[in-house]
Amino acid sequence: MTRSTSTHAHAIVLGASMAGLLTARVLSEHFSQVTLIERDPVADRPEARKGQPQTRHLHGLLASGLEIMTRYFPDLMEALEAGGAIVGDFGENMRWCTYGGYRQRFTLGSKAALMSRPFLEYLVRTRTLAQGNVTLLDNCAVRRLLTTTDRMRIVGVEVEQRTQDSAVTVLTADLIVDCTGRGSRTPQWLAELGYTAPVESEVKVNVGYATQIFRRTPSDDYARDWVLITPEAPRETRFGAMFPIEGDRWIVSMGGWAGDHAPTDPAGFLEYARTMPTPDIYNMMRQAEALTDVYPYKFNSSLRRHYEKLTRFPAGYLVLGDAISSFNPTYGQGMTSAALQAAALDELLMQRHGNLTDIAPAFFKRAAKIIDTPWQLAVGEDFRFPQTTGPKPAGIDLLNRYVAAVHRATLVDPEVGRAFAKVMNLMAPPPSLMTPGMMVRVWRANRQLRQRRPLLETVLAPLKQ
Amino acid sequence: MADYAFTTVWRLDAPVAAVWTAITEVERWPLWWRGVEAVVQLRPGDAAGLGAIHRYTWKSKLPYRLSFAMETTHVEPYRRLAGRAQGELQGTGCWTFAETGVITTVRYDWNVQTTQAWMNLLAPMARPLFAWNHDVVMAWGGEGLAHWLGAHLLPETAAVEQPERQMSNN
Ligand SMILES: Cc1cc2nc3c(=O)[nH]c(=O)nc-3n(C[C@H](O)[C@H](O)[C@H](O)COP(=O)(O)OP(=O)(O)OC[C@H]3O[C@@H](n4cnc5c(N)ncnc54)[C@H](O)[C@@H]3O)c2cc1C
Repeated sequence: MTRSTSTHAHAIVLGASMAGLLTARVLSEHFSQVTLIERDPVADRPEARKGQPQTRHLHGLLASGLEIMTRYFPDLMEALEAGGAIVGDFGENMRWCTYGGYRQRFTLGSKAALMSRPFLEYLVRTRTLAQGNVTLLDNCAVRRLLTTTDRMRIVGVEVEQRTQDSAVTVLTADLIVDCTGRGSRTPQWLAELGYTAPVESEVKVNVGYATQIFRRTPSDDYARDWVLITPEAPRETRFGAMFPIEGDRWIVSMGGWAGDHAPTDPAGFLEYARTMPTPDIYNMMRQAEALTDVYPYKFNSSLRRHYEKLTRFPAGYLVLGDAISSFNPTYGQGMTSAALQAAALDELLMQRHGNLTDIAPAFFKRAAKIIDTPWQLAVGEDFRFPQTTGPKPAGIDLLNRYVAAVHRATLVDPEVGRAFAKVMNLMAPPPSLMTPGMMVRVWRANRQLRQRRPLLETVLAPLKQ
Repeated sequence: MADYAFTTVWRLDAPVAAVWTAITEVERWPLWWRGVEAVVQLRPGDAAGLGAIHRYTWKSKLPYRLSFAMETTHVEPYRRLAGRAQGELQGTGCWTFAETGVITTVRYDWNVQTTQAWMNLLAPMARPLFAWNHDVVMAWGGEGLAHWLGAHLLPETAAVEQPERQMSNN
């Protein structure tokens, strides 16, 4: 990685979860010192913290996310595999049931990673902190921003140490990046400083997930399958996933839209698995030893804060990751979106030789472009359910009719599967699914499928007992 | 041939004269209408604009451009503007204007056929996609026009949904 020609003295990153760590890693190239401030105590081991409850749930790292992270942490893939995580081709390993059948397998040509989220974060954290110029202040909550007297520039933060004496310290920096996730207080802080808070798009989905971890027997013939079941919405409302992770374990997350939440008692959770259109998850759960309780997670709405639309924004300050946008994790794109945003910040700082003047509008514009795709995919699926409410993109119902045909086509044509996987992995933009060539494939596959439909059902029937 | 019939209604808090000017000055559309890549005059019309021919190039959500020429066939200031399309799309388009109090209502009726072989062949598959693309472009047009005129697009102005737009397949 090339360093910027002008290096600033100090950067502060608020929040030491995935977006914060990646941002700190990027900024370590451009600043002499980087300080990460995290409210939770951070232990030197893989552990889900209070401030990031979602990390107990199934987290896959998509191909482009892994590719970017490997750029910043060259030994990440080896470290993942050495720790027992599963690294492999997304298309070859995924056993993905949707629209009444399994998608054809294909070779994507890029690797994705499955592991527990705390393990991935642990590897990223230890490598970021090994950077030499990155320091972590844990057990410290950011309370407010400090500005110049004209309030045009953010110059520091007030931090409360969460020890008995609750000491308050002030830290100053040339750049501060808010990575405190969805609960980010930047909108309120901006308003308090006399700025306009960003306009928000909120799409209410009322999704309820639950997760449980099981022992995995590596000798089982299905032990390396990545099982994913996504609904043919709105007819079906449930999704399920069962991924192999480190420590010879399975992580199972299941859930449903529009209030069709997964139960959180083990018996109810098992029964929920039985209602899935394929028995893959149920069969495993019936035999395997449960290693944890069932953890719930309520995801009420996808939220996007349109920082790119603001005309006034203080200097010396940015927002990144879930703090800008958190979307329904249907396609597991949150960490990859954060990684792409961090890489975009790196590129921007390189292009500008570290010049921070007016960096906010330039960065927010790039971040918005990155977020557009996962937002469109997640919210597009959500609007298949009539109960979903919020700002509905123009013509989305029409688009969804084509996307449904694409999903069906993946059951017979691996090329369509590959094209869809590229979009989902944030490696290609959605219009790549709409070229005349792709439309021909989708059309042909759907025609073929109509003729084969009864056959598919007879194939699936004996699997369900 | 695949037939498409779309109707869009925009309601704006702007005087009809301003809206009429923005719509009739087609060469300036690229300045405010996202998705309109170029509008080139091929033949000037008479003083009122009748008989003028313009070539429109659109680039929106779909990964290819769409191009057609449009001849102005009817001009009735502040009331109606109609034309005939030739090219990758052929058919008719008609703008209707109405002013009630401080609100101007513009309605666009677009009745066209696709002429390219692949578009016709793929009509069953591509129909929702083309319709979606049209909806997106018209939404951009409504927002862009309001912004251009310093007006507001009134919320109930969303495109009149005609999901079963009597779209025949052949
Ligand atoms: C159920 C679920 C499943 C998901 N599955 C996937 C998946 O499969 N793949 C994927 O890529 N993504 C997935 N995601 C999304 C992913 O979890 C996030 O996108 C990712 O964690 C990046 O978030 P972040 O770092 O921006 O914020 P967060 O992870 O929310 O972290 C914010 C951090 O800021 C700290 N903090 C908050 N306030 C303060 C303060 N005042 N001072 C100091 N520190 C503070 C918090 O303690 C926390 O550590 C999933 C999300 C959910 C909800």
